[in-house]
Amino acid sequence: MPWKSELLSGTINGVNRTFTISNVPKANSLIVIFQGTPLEAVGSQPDQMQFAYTVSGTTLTLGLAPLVGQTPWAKYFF
Amino acid sequence: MGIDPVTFARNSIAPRFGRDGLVHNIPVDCPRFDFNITATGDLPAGIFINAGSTLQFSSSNGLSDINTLIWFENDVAKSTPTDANPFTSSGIYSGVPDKYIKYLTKMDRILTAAEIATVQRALTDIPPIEFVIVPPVPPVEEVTDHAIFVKDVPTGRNGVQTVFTLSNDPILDSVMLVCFGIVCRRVASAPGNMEYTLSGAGNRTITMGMAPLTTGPPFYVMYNRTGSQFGTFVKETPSPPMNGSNTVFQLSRTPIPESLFVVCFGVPLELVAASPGQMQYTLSGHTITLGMAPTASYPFIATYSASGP
Repeated sequence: MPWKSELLSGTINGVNRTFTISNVPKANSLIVIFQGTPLEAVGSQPDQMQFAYTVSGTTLTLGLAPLVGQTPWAKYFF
Repeated sequence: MGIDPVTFARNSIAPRFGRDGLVHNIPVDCPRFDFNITATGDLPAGIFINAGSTLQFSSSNGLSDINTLIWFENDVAKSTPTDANPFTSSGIYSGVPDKYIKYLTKMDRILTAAEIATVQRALTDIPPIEFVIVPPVPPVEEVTDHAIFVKDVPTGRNGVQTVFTLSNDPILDSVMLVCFGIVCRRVASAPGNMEYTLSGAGNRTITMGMAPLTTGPPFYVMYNRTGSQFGTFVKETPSPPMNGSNTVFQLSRTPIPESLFVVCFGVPLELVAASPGQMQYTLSGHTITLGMAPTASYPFIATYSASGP
């Protein structure tokens, strides 16, 4: 079970907020970085202007929809 | 036993065990009632009909007629005609001796099998219900061998230098580099602003896309190196709630210090030994002391690995 850093997988178009990662992270090990800022993990779908995310399995829902050129990424242990 | 009149005769004394555990003698002609001892209370076993004793109901009860008779024999439910009627037409028990008899019930007609079963269920002794409060099962804590946490503060930043060296060989995907007030992104080559590469022997060489300033936002690298270190990942908002004046907060667990990553005011904070300034904090056991009191406007997140309870 290794560490993993990866870009979030999904359409980046300023609209899409749903992304995936390759593996199901160990609980509480996931850190999601968006424009250099660590996002807050919240229990339910974050507001569209919120620097936050929810995770379910390998699916992440961000509050903010990344714009073209932005590269949200995640680090986690699985 | 239900149906009067009843006579009982025994030509000798009878022994029985009392609740004190001792043997007690029952006088001649005195019926012997015993109890089944259970963990939650004693239940009636019935009247003990030993050889030489006589249990007789009034013949007017007509116990030997064709209507259904239900009784319990050594706690086993019986009924006619499935079971032989142990009473004579005179109402005298003539069944096998040395049995406990209880709940003799005479019906006014022949019951169906279902009706008999219903009556027998109603007469069956049920041990008192004992309520046992089951303690809540604590969540299973997942302890992981996540390799050894390391936290380096690279030396030599002067606003010009862009190459720095880590103290250990990092597990590449574990690296998190904080500089310029953000978490920088690792790229394979040609790092731009807010980016870096790891290369060289053991991937210890950091090449920043932009030189960190001598002072200002913290510059540190958190990573794991090969080796065994067990811990439980924790992600939480320290307590108590932020109120704009308090600067001392508690973590629920004691973190492995090198694993602690604190974010507040929208930026990663810097761990210092004492006297934290803005965007800095100190750690002592479970206690985090910030240099500036946060308000609820910002998420306050502590992510770490706890090695023990």
